[in-house]
Amino acid sequence: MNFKNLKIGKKLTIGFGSLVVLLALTGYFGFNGISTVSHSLFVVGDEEAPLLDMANEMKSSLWEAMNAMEEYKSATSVISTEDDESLGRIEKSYQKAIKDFDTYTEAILNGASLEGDEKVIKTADKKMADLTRQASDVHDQKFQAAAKELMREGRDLLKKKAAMDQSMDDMQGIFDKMYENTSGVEKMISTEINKRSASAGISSKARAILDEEVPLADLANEIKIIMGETRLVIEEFVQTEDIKKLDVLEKKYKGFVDQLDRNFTAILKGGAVDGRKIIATDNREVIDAIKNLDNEHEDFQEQAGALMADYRDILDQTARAKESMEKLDLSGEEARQELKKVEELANESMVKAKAEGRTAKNTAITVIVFITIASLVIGVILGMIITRSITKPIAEGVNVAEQLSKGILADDIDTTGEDETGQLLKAMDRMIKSLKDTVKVAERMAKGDLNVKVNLLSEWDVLGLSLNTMIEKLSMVVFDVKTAADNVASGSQELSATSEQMSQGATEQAASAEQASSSMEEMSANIKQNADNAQQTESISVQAAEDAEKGGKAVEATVNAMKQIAEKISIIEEIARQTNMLALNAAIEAARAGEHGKGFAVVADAVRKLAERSQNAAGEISNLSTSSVEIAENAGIMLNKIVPDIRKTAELVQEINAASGEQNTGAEQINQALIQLDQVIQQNASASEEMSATSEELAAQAEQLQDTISFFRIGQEDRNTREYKITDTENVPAKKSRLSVMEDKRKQIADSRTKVNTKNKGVDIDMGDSNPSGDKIDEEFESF
Amino acid sequence: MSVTGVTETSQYLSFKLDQEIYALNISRVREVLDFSDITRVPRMPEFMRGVINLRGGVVPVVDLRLKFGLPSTDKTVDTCIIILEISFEGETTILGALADSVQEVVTLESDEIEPPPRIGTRLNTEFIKGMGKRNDEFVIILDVDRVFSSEELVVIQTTDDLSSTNDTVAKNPNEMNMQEIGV
Repeated sequence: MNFKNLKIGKKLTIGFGSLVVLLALTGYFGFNGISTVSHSLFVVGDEEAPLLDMANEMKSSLWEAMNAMEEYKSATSVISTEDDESLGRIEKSYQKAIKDFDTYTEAILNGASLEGDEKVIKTADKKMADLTRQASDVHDQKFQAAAKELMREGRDLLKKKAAMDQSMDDMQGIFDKMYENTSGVEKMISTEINKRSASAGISSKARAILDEEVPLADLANEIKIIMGETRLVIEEFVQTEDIKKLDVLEKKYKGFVDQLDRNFTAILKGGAVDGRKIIATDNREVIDAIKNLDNEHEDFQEQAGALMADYRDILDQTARAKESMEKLDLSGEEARQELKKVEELANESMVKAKAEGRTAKNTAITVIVFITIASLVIGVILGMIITRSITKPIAEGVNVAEQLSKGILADDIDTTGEDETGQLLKAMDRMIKSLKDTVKVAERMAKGDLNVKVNLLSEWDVLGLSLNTMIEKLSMVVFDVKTAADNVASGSQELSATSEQMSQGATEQAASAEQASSSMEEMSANIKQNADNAQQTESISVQAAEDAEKGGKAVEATVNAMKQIAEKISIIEEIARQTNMLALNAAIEAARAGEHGKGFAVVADAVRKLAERSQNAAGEISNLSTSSVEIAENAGIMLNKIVPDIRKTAELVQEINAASGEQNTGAEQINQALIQLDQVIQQNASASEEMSATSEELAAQAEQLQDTISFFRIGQEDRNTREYKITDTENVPAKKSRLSVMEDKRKQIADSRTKVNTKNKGVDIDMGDSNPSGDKIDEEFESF
Repeated sequence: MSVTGVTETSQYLSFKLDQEIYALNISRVREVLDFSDITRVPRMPEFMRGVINLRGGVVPVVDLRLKFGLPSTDKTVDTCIIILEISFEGETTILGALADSVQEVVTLESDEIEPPPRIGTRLNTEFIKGMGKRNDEFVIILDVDRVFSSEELVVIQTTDDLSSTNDTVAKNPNEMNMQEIGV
């Protein structure tokens, strides 16, 4: 497939895709290089440097431990005077160095974070771990064992030294005692000399003294000197470290001891010492002292022997310590060698990592530069190709659209392309073709042919649809207008008939109105009569109400009078009662008078009877007056009730009166209205005539409208439905006037109407042509 | 049939007490008065309504209705006081009697008077002199002295013993007084 014919999307995808691939490559190499460099940095900085540091630290710890041991050794050597305390300090510093060494070993093997924020990462190099472990093993097993031995021997040495010192002290004690004893012997001898020199004569005696006593004194003195020298030899022995010299010194010592023994023997038994003749002493005291001295000398010898043996032992021990120290140095050296190897290994890793980082950086830079240049070149070339392949066909499309916008329907469009622009041009070509079809349809419509139809390009062809709808609507409108024109024509004929009828009706209305007017006059007279009567009734009822009120007052007065009568009667009653009482008393008086009072008794009885009668009568009157009062009161109440009724009646009558007056004015108004109605009816009659003329004009206009609308030719089916009308108008002879045509039609319609009328049940009013007088006034109107 | 003691024709004053008509011999009646104010006197029995002033003289008034065990007299227009002369322990005493109304002075023949019945009225028949017939009506003729004599009073009181409180008053006025003071 040609690149030119590819879709724009694909073209853009190829272009951008190649750029994205190049960018991804650049990114990949860049990232790779950076990560390698960062790894190298990590190896150098975080991993190997602390390891190196640790190895160094381990070495220095080893040095420290060795130094401590050296110090220890010197501290415990023969001539040293260090005490336990300083030994403990040295041991402590040694222990610390050992512990540090272990800590650093652990750090290298398992990783740890030490004081001072130093972080050590566990080594990944197996060789290094092995080396470290070996160094640790040497350190743990050989070095530490040697150190331990050294320390033990040092301690032993110290102990032995202490023992020797003790022996030395003991020996010194014996020596001092011997020295003192010897001095005692010397004194004794000199005393002897003095004694002898004093007792003896100068010649023989002096000779004896010179022969006997003076050598003795010399011997004693010599013993003292030998003892001092012996002591000096022993002291020298103890200070010497050279074994050969020791032997010499021991021989010297033995010589001194022999000499001393000889001297002792000489003193005791006599003899020659160094060419001098010694005569044995006979002094008992001196002999005892010498014997004692000899015994003490034996002790001294023993002690000195032990001391010397001790010293030799110490020297041996020192030699052994030296040996241990050498062993320690050896194992320390071994460990140091291992550590050196570790250091070298770490250094090697670091160098290797540095080299790797450098290589990765160089590679990354090269690759990135190369790919960047390649992307620039490819991007420029692809961009040019794609731009050209898109813009050229679009320019052509724009040209066509420009023409289209000016209404030019161009024919020559190059539609060879296969991509989107090619499709666009093809679509435009199709559009122009369909537009041409539509134009043809429009031209036909312009000529009045509505029997056309636009072929729809698709169901969304709005223009086609609208045109079709327009044609349809236009057809409908034309059809409607035609129908309306027909209707107007027939309607105007009906209208003229109706207006004629209206005029006739108006005449009848006028007559009726006159009749109504005369009836109204009569009615208004009646109403006036009613009003007068009501007025009279009203005045009468008012009078009656007043009379009734007066009657009520009279009844009240009567009641009062009756009440007064009743009061007065009670007085009469009282009088009658008292009279009765008096008569009774008179009768009693008469009876008490006996025969003489008989006549009086009769009179009294008569009086009493009269009183009784008057009492009874008064009672009756009283009863009567009471009942009369009741009756009169009832009458008064009734009268009072009547008064408002009468008043109400008067009011009602008054209302009737007012209503009559209103009726009267109403009737007058009706009269007025009737007169107006009469006038209106007259006007109606003339208006209906005018209307009839107007309707004729309307019919003519409708005909003209029919002629005009016949310009449009519409669908066949519509034509059929209204054929009769069109033919009707066409068939009318041109000579016939519009009016006569109208008349014909009217007759037609009138006939149909009369037919309808004969069918109807009910009154058939003949208002038509049967007019005997034969006037032609109504001829224009239709009869119904 | 005639009654002893009522042999001759005599005149009687008839009066009404609670629908029944009674009569008194006119010779014992001094006069008839309208009911006027009666002054109540303390420590008097219940049936003694009090005293009135009769022309300067003090006359005690007895309520006959109470005397006969009827409810006490209410004052009406016809209520009047009959002034009687009673011979009490050989002396003539003047006494007022309250009656519902005084009727007339009638003359009754002896044959018109029947003896008092043994039973039938609430009154003890001893103070009834007889029953006078008049216009088919009975008039109870009272013996004034018996009605008002002290002995009669005692008799009456004993007969009324159970129903009236007056007897205790009559028997022991002091006790009555005590009660009144107590009340």
